Amino acid sequence: MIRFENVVKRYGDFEALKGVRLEVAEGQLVTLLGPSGCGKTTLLRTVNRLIEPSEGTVFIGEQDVRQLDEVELRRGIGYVIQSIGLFPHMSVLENVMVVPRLLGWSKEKREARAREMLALVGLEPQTFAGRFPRELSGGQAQRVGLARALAADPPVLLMDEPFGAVDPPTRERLQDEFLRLQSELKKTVLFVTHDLEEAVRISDRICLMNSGRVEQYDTPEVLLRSPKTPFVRDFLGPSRTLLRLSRIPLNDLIEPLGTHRPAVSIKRSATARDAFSLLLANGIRSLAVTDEGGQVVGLVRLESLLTAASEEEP
Amino acid sequence: MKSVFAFLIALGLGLALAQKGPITVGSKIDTEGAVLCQMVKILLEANGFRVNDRCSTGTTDVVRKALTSGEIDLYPEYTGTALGVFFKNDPSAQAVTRDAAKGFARVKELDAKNNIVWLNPAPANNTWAIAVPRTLAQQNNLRTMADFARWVNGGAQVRLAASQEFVDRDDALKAFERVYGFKLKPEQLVILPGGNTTQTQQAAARGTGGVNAAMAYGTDGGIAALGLVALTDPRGAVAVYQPAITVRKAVFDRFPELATLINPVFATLDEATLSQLNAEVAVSGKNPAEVARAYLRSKNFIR
Amino acid sequence: MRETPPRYLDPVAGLAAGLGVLALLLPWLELKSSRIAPGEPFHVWDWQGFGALALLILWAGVARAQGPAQVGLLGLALLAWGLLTGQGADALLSGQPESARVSPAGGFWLTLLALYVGYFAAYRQGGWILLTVLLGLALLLGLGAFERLGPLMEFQSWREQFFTELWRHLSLSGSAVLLAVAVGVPLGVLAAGNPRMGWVLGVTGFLQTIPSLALFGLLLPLLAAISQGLRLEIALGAIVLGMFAFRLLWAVSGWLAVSLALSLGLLALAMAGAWLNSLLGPDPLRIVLGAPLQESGVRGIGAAPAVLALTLYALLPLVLNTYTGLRGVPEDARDAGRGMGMSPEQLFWRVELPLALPLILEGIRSAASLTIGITTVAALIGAGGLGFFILRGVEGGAPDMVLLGAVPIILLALLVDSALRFASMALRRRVGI
Repeated sequence: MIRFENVVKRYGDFEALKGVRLEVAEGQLVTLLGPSGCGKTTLLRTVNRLIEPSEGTVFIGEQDVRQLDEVELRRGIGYVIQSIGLFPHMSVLENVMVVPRLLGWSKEKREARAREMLALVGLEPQTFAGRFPRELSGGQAQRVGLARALAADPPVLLMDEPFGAVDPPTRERLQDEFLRLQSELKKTVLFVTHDLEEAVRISDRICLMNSGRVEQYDTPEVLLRSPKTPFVRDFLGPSRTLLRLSRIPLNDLIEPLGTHRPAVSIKRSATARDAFSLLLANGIRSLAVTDEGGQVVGLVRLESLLTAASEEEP
Repeated sequence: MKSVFAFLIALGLGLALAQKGPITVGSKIDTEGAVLCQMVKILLEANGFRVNDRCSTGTTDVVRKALTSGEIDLYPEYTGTALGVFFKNDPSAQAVTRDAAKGFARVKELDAKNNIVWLNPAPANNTWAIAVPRTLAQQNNLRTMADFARWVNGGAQVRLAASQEFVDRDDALKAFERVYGFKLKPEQLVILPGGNTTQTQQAAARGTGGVNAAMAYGTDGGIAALGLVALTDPRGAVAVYQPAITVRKAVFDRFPELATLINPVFATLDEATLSQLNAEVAVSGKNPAEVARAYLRSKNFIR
Repeated sequence: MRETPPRYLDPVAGLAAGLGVLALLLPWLELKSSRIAPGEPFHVWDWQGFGALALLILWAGVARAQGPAQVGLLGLALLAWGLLTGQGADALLSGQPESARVSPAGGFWLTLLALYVGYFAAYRQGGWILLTVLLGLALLLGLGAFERLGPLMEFQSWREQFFTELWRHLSLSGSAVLLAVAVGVPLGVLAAGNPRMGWVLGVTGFLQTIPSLALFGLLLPLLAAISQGLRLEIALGAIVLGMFAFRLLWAVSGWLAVSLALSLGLLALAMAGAWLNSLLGPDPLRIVLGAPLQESGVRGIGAAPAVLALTLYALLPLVLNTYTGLRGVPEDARDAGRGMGMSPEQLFWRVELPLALPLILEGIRSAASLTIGITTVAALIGAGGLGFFILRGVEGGAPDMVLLGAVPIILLALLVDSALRFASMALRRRVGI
């Protein structure tokens, strides 16, 4: 759906993007990950032409974005930024209605859609429609930003560290809700972050960048298991295996109970990483797995975890 | 509706055209200027002229410039001021400043070259004078400038409040000193900027800073009200300042009746009359237009 | 041992009371034999000993009272101030010649100040107390308490001209502020959008530093020369052509273009100012084609140079506030707006301008009260306005007439300032800043 062909961006002598080649399939959530200054935000902004490449082309569908009028282009792309940028002089509802209004929708259609979007992001329309941005908490404001981006039902979403400005528990909650939303809406999302955990948590594929180049572009599992370059390995850090384990649901590793029932138990909805953490903490070699009700359904052994963690090709 | 409008416009235009003018009248900001200006305005209006009221236009330079540039059509000016300021570099002008008749003839002649017509002056001589508190005059038997000279030379404690102009000009204080034979030392002078005689007279009346003599003009309205008395100048030491209406030639040529209307009125304005009129405005606080109108009525110049 | 609660004394109310009592010790009124004569001072007890005592008690009460009681006592003090003055004027003038005048003196003014401070202290009760002030003043005016004071006697003589000059004062200031908004806001927008236009701020700032009289003086001969020689159609034509020529010249030489713009701009402003003032004010509007500009009301003295100078002075607050207001728009709001697909015009009108509006309104407030004050000088160049009375009063040595001019100007400036301050606050709250 989004394709970058040899995109170069120069600022004087400095090359922020050095010939990026990347393809984002429709309906996928791709994260642009990397240290500050790696060019991820620059690349993101070439999609809606807030930044024009010095060389190369950006395609949405089969359309070169330069063929379209930039203002019209942007109205068809959802854009969420870290500082959100809600308009302080407009109510929450008016903020969400901005793009539909730019597109010329009727008042009734705009309002109905805006309320729908607020509900979608978990903000009760009755309560929040008339509020003003200064009355919102960080998390609430971010949700409004998201609702605003989705209001015109754009096929593409560009998100630049959208959850960066909130505290960790709120961030996790927002990530979960966003994932839920994405599974429903199936938008093509380009997501910028510097947070590895966040990337691993939500992405379909991760594009790890460094100094304007793409270092590796794979699913989280592949990336974490097989870093291709020393940079990637360094970036992921020694704990990457643990991260990889966080993507493995416990369900895959459950074995039937044997004679001995382990003392410590864990819910089956947890991840392999959670299990490993518990094993370490208690100095044991197996855990009992329970369902929501507390019924023991099996056990998981350290050996299984070790196998899963292994980086050898299966 | 349209026809009503048209009729009204035609009526208005007709009325406007039926009147003569418009003539724009101006004056200096002082009381006497305002009274004379209003007098001319009311007189002209009563005789079928449309008059634009720009009385109290500004300072001497501003008003004179307004006249020469055509912003206003006429204003009252003093013979002495014209001779002493506008024609100060002309020796023929300086020679006749103390002669009322010759001075007027000269200034009329000279200003004709500037396309300004001088109508007949009023007999009032609004010239420099020195005023002292009445009690002081009574105590020291002061009635004329000769008495003043005698008093000063006798070692009196005198402090005179005056303007810079009065002190500097050759035909003001210096003329008094020359003709009456006295000399005021610098510490006997208090110079007030701007030359406002009301301020100098108020100072003498209050005795501010030891002032007990004030520069005055012959027709000032406030002298009596402030308990002062002006000393007379029997030897005619200083220049003559008679007020007269100065008109732009172009306007005068169109309306020569200006002379026949205004001259008789001005002929009645002697010092006593003009002081009285000034006093009604400056002291009693009446509106100059009302004072002028009442005067014109009382003399049957208007109904 | 039971603790007695601490005695309550609001320092501000205490100050008010102190000033009020001090005022009683000063002469309250002056009696003069005429409007230009020196005055003899009189104290309150010279005509009403009881009154002095009553006020003393009222002030003591104001210092100690709280809440509505304090407001009530202040109201009574206000009434006492007015009624005592009226009574004093009547008493002092009885048996005096018609030219005699009574003027307010130190005690009167100090009591006014004390009342102001007192109401300031009581203001936390809420805005409704202003209504009590207005009611009190209305009552005093209705009873004719100040009728026989010098300034009001001057007013009786000059009634018609007073209202004409008041109207002129308002039309001069109003025209200047309107023109300053029309010119200043776009200049501010230009300066905010383009870093190379920063010199605009410098120039308008520089204009502020020129003493008002000097600026008037500079403009007079300039406008006089132009308005006599230049015909109306030529002037209009030059301005229109100039607008086109500007674009061409800009490419060739920035300096030439700017000089052209400035000179034609000043001419246009002078004309617009004179005509706007005629439309808004009592003087008739005259447009005479085929004749020099001065026939059409654009002269070297009068409204044209006055409004031009006033407009130039009012420019700075407007340009600066517009600039600051636009600069103060949150950058993330701009980025989000652009990113969402707002065109530059939409971004300006829907986001930037509404957010800058409270500050712009503050600029208008600033410009308006400033202009009302400076308009005083316009009377010097024959443009009229309330300054006329100040000038005549000073020239004629009549302080009452000076007050007749000065007090309305102060009240006007305060009124306009308060009204616009209120509007600006309301707008700020709505916009969320």
